[in-house]
Amino acid sequence: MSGAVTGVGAATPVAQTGASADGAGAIALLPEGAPLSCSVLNDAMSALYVMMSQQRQLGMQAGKNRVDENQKLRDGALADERAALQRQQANEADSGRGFFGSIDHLLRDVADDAVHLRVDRAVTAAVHDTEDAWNSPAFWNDLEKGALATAKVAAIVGSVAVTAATLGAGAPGIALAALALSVGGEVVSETRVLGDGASKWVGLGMEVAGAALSFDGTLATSGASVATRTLSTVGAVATTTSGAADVVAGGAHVRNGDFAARAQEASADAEAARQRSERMDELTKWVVDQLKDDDKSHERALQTLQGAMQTNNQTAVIATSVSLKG
Amino acid sequence: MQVTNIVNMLTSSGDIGAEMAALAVQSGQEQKDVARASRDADEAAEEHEEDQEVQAMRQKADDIRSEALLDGIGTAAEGIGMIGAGFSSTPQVGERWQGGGKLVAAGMHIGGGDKGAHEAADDATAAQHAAAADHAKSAAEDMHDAARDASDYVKTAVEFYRDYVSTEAETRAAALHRA
Repeated sequence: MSGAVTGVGAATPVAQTGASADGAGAIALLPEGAPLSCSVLNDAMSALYVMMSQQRQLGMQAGKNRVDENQKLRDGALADERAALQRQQANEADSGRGFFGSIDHLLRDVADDAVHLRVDRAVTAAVHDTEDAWNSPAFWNDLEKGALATAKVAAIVGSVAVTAATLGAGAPGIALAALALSVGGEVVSETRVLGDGASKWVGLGMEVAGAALSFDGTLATSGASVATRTLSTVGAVATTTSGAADVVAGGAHVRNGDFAARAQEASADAEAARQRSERMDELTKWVVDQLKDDDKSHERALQTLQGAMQTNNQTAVIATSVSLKG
Repeated sequence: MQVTNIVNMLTSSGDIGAEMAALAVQSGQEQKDVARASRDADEAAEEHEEDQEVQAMRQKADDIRSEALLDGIGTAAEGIGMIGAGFSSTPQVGERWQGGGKLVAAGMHIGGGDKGAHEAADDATAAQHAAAADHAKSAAEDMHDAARDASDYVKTAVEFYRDYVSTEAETRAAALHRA
């Protein structure tokens, strides 16, 4: 600022104001209001031109700094978005090793270390692989599906076994059917209603079947309590297995829900980062537009000033030529 | 403030060209200020809506977690009931175990609400805020364009005044030259 005033003051006396009152001798920033000569006017306009050019450069620099700042923020947002997308992918249900894959990996690692007598590494590998499985969404997803399937199958088996045990009193029915077959076979054989050859063989077949059923019915009747007890035991074991599988499936479901929630949170983080990045793009665009407008405005002002200086010079030339003619 | 003073000074200068230019500049400047203020307001609205959208997405994550927890506890309770039934001495006791487990499971399912309904509601909320954010963004861009148009208007007014002054100066110079 003082430099610019010095430029003006080189051609114009600078007024001293306020010096008499307090002796501070403050220097006025503008020339006194006397009529200005052409050269003085041009000096002032030149100084103005220099100031405006500097202002234009400063404006450009400030704009550039803002664009750089926005660019840094945008880069940061993009990095955040990438990281969030990776987190989301890592928590998807199919990410990581599955149930059998995890077990296979664990066994291979432990077996390999055991073969080479590296007990400490075997323990470390086992712990590491277990942690991997614990943090693998695919492992828990497979576990839940497998446990649910096991629970269903075991529940059906248990139900059938219990039903069969409950219906053990059906043995008399079997005995009656055996009796009917045996008697029918005897009748067919004796009456020869189906012809000589056929009646003989059909009657024999019915008698054999009746005997077999009778034997089975006898077994069922005599061993009813044993079969019922066995079926009851099978039913209880199957029901317990189904229940245990349900407990495992419930735990795995909670874990899977946590993975899904984490994936969703990561998705929200990615969305927030994407929005931040887009906002920075938008702001940068606006700053650039503003810079362009300001630059054009400065350019126009400088052109106007240039024109004014030229007009001033031309006027001075004309005035001089007129005075010379006069 | 200084620009306003200059414009006021030109408006009352008595020079018709200066007055027209000053009024045009004043009008353009006001348009630009209003457009920029609207743009900033729209941008703030966009940011707010986007925040709400992300908030709805986070809410969905919470709902997924809590529903999975309740479902899991329900399934496990049912399983515990079945284990109890498997170890029970009589069918009646077994049925009580199973019934208890199923009761807890049903309670958990009721507590968790309609499966997926919360998530669907969260999705709808997020989509609603996303649409509002898009709308605000579009409005902000329109206001940005309006501010640039206002700048062009001011530029045109200034160019008019420059040409006016130039023509006036040339006319005077020509008159002086003739003299």
